[in-house]
Amino acid sequence: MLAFDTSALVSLSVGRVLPQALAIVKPVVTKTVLKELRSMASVKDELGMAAASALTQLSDIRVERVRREPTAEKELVLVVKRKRATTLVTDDLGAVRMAEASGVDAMFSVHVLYLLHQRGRVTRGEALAALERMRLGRVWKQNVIYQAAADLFGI
Amino acid sequence: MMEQVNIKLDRRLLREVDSLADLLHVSRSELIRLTLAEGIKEQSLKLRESVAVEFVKGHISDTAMESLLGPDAEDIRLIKRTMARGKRIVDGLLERP
Repeated sequence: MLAFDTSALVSLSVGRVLPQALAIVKPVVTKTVLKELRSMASVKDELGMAAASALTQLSDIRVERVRREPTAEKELVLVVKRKRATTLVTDDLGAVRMAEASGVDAMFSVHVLYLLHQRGRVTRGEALAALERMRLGRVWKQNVIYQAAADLFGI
Repeated sequence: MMEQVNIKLDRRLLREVDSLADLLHVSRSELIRLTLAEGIKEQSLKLRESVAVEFVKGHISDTAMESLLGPDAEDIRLIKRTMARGKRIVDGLLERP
């Protein structure tokens, strides 16, 4: 069971691998994540469209009830701490730092892509194409994640 | 504060600079200044990104990375740690039936 934050869902949606990911992992979100996605989807840019697409694919997703926190990431860290998920999936460095400080495991969306590849759900070529789509239009530190992830696929 | 520098440009490039400066209603100096600033910013960002990627891949040392990236070094270390931890988590999941 993996707890997904908004950034990870949007990244996988941009990479066009969210349906495959949802098919093999048991994703968990909170109401705030869905709210953030709806807010992003109201903006008609590439990330907004990816958020809108993610929302249509999340109709059956498990929404964990937790005490309302100021951010979705804080809620998701609580979800993992309460053992309702094993790992936080996020591309937000602030969220990774928060998870680390709370003793909670965190990984990036590219690790879900790696899992998909290892399970034979996407080919190496498809994974690299997804990484390239995920890289476009991001800030340089996030680009580092997507570029370094090529190592996971033997590049 | 500005300082004056002298650079030699190819005649053909200079003609292009002048045409573009005319079109944009700016002086030749202004256009060169803006273009140079934009180019340097872009190159610097690309270089920072490359240094960070090489560090995460283990090709350059922590000291070299920190000296080039300064305060951003801590975020890049976090990325490196999380890349390694995430792989271990997924490899663990893959070992389960």
